[in-house]
Amino acid sequence: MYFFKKLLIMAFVISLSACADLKPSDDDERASVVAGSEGHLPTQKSKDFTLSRSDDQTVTLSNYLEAGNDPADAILIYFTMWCSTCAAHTSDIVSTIKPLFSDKNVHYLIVDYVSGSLADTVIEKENNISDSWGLEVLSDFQNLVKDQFHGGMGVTVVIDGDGTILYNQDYGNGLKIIEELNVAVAE
Amino acid sequence: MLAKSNGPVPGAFFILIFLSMLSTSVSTYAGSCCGGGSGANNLLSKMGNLNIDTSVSWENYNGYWDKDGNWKEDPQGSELNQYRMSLGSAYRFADRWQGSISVPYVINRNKYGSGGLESNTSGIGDTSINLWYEAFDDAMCVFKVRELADLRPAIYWGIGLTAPTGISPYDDVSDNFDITGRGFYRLDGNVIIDKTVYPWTGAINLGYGVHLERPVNRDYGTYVDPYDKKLGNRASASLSMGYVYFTEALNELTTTVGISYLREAKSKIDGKEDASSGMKKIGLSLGVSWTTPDKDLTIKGSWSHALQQDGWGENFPTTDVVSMGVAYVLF
Repeated sequence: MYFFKKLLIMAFVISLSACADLKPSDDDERASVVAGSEGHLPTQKSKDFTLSRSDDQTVTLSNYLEAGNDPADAILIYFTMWCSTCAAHTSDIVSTIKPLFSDKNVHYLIVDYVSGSLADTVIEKENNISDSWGLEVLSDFQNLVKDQFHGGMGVTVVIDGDGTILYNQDYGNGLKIIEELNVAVAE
Repeated sequence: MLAKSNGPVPGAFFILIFLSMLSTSVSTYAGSCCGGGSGANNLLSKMGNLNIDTSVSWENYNGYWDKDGNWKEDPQGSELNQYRMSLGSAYRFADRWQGSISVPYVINRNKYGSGGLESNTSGIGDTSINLWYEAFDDAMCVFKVRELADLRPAIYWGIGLTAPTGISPYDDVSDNFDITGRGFYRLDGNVIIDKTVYPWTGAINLGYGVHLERPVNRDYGTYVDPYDKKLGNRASASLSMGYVYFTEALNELTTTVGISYLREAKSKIDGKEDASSGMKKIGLSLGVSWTTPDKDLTIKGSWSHALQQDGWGENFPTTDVVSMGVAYVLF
């Protein structure tokens, strides 16, 4: 019995020693970047990209920027894997964020990085996104844009009209996204 | 600690949800207790001093309920499986006091979507520690009700701590699918009411858990503007009923059916509610256990099922869980 007790205590201590979550940090450890340089972090300029849209058109970021053919006040990119959390975030974009910027030209790009083809993205879009919601569903079957922004489930990117990234992290409760969109449309 | 093999790993969401369920599994083996041993929790009988409890389980994910309770299928091409091995032990401190600990090891084997994303990750999950007070002195199971006192149930009052020993979204993960834990401490209060009048047995398990707020400065491996996050409080309840069959050699074979309810309130980020969070789940279960006459060895198996229908859950995946376990008691 003594051996068992000792073994269990040792196993528990080993498991505890390997985990940083036991003592979480609030230090700001974000890498410092040169504002205006090309990259994926806030204050950096986004690299251009082109993806196919579910209506078989192509979307190019630079077309939505100030010098483009269809300049926008802001661009919101949301990475979806068509899960319940993604559905909840998408619903929040439609019901909470979009109405706040209804008088602004904001493009909402829902990037599908889990489907293997545009055809599959179209199927997922039909199953999950209503046309009336005004979202643009893009197929990133090669994960090019996902890798470019270090995207993943729920990661959201806000880009202003001149291509500067204002936000790139988890959707959270959406409030910081609204703050950054307000900054973008006020510029 | 974290072993990863194939590229991008799109299973973290499901792992997270799975881990969130660990402490709320349906009670499945209400029998063979006699005041200790409601099988869904690692509890010692009055005679037991120490036990070792091991189990393996396989969880298959298939669809989810959205925020409005509508059931939806996973993306085509998805095949989501998770395997878990748990090692636990319970120890008696005093006549009415016992404690237990359980450490899971999680293995993910997932294919997600038609794009070929696969996951093969593994690591220790979150550790749970429990302290139980038994509100009774003697075995409370009876073969016949002769007086009112024979109907008194075995009642356990418990407090629990879930420690974030797993790999969470806020830990040093290379992408958002390496996680094996939620990353939050949680304190739970539990009560189990357990009664056996042979051959029938039943148990009610009620719980309420409070997640502790923590700072976050990293999401999925990327450092972010620090913020404070608190997962929502959770309420759980389960009810199980069983039948105990004695073999000629006095081994006990118990079959149990159960239903469970779990709700977690919405999270808060910097004190503001996250409207996309929170969940609800109702699950059904079937269990079988076999216990030796000396009650030193129990072998148990169970199947938990979530109905793939609207209204049985919200913002949560639907899964089937098959578990097998062995518990050995030292008297």
